[in-house]
Amino acid sequence: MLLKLENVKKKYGSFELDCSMEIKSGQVTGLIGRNGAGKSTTFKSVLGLIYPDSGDIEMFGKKLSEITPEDKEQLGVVLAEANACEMFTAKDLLPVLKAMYKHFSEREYLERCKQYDIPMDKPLKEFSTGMKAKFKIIMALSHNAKLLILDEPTAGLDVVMRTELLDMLREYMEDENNAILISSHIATDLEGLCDDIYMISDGKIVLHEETDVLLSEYGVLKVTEEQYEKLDREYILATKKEKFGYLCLTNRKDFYQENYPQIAIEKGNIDDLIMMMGKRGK
Amino acid sequence: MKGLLIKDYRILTKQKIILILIVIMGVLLPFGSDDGSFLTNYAILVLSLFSLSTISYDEMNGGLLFLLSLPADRKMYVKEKYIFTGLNMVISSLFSLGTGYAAALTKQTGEGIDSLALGVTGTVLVIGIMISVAIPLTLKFGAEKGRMLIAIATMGVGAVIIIAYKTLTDVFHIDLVGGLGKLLGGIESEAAVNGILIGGLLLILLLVLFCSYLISNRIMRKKEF
Repeated sequence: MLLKLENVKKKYGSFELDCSMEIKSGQVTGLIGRNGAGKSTTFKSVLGLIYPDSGDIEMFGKKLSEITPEDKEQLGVVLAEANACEMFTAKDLLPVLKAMYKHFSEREYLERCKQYDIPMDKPLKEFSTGMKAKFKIIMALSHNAKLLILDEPTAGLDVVMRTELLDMLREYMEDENNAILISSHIATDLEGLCDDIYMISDGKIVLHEETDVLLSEYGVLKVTEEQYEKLDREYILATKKEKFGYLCLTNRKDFYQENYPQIAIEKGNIDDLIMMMGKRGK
Repeated sequence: MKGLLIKDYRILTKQKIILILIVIMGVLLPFGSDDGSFLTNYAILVLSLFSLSTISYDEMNGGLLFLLSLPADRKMYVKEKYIFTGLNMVISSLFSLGTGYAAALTKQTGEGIDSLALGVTGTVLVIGIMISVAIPLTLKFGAEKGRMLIAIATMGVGAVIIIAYKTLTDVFHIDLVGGLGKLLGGIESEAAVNGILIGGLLLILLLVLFCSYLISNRIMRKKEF
């Protein structure tokens, strides 16, 4: 187990994070949720940037309070709101990172910068959004990290850049000892990358499922009010009122396909989860 | 730690105008003025205060979040700021001492290196006290809000020192300068007296910086991002 959160609680006014999750070696775990659901608070708790009110966080088999800077060398982090000094160039950051990480690979860093068209002599403030995002990932990948913690790494990127970035992550996962915890607003990114998904809503983990199960067994039922009244709701996870009746999210699509052939059922996806199980669903 | 130091020196080297000013002023002032005034130690002032600028650069655009996600923790960050300040104080003091001594030799003022060193140490102490107040305030309130507070607090510390000195001499009739004179009076060599004074001032400086470091550590430990 590379990372474990157990009943981690943090209160900000009326918002309270209450999160438990596990990240295992060889797995890509996605954290999804609407804006303000608690994703960044979870990431910051894991990185010790905020102090949880209660609960336990274990990283690399150690309590978070016992994690040393040496332990953090096994970690690659990309946070949407964290940036290197914008005066610096990729060349300026090379000696900084080299001094920070014992296992920093200058060759990999330079090769990746070249491969992904990162200019070495251009200040970061002149980088495009896409270049900044790619460069952040390159920095996180160049020191043989065991665990990547990526908060919205694909935010603001076009489809080509997202694909490039996801390819970098797939390449990183070729080593089975590695793991990734990633959050993204773009469902398709996570569907194609993650082994399992945690859904967070209003600070609480409301769902944890393997991505394959989610995509094959989850579905959205479109029912009229009359159909809804007669519906066996045992496998309904969330319901949303619509003009025509109800949208119902199920984790047993096959059950409803067999027993209610007249009901229109769509294949489930992460967007449906966020829409149905987010704060405004239910 | 080394990575953070490299980062701060990279920021410094990006400020070419500051470095050029340090060299120009550092050379011009000792050669241009006749006394060993505070301003002749311009390099010490600018280089030592530069650590505050690095904090404000770190704050910008989530820079501190980035640094703390690297193999660095809050304690290391604070420690590095004081080491960076200390290194800059040493480098700028040696530079000031060098240019000051070169000026003294050129102008044949007859001022010894020990006397120049005492002047430099005095300047370093004053600036060290300013920095010791400024770093915790900048860490606590940020570079923007901290600026006004630093000005007020530095004046406050200055006022406290003056009031304490006046109270001791006028109210309690303790003659600090006289006492120090008597204490060192037995020593004939001026260089030895200067040496003792430099040692004493450096000791005070280290003590002040250490207290400031402890406060800064406490501030950073409590900080949430």
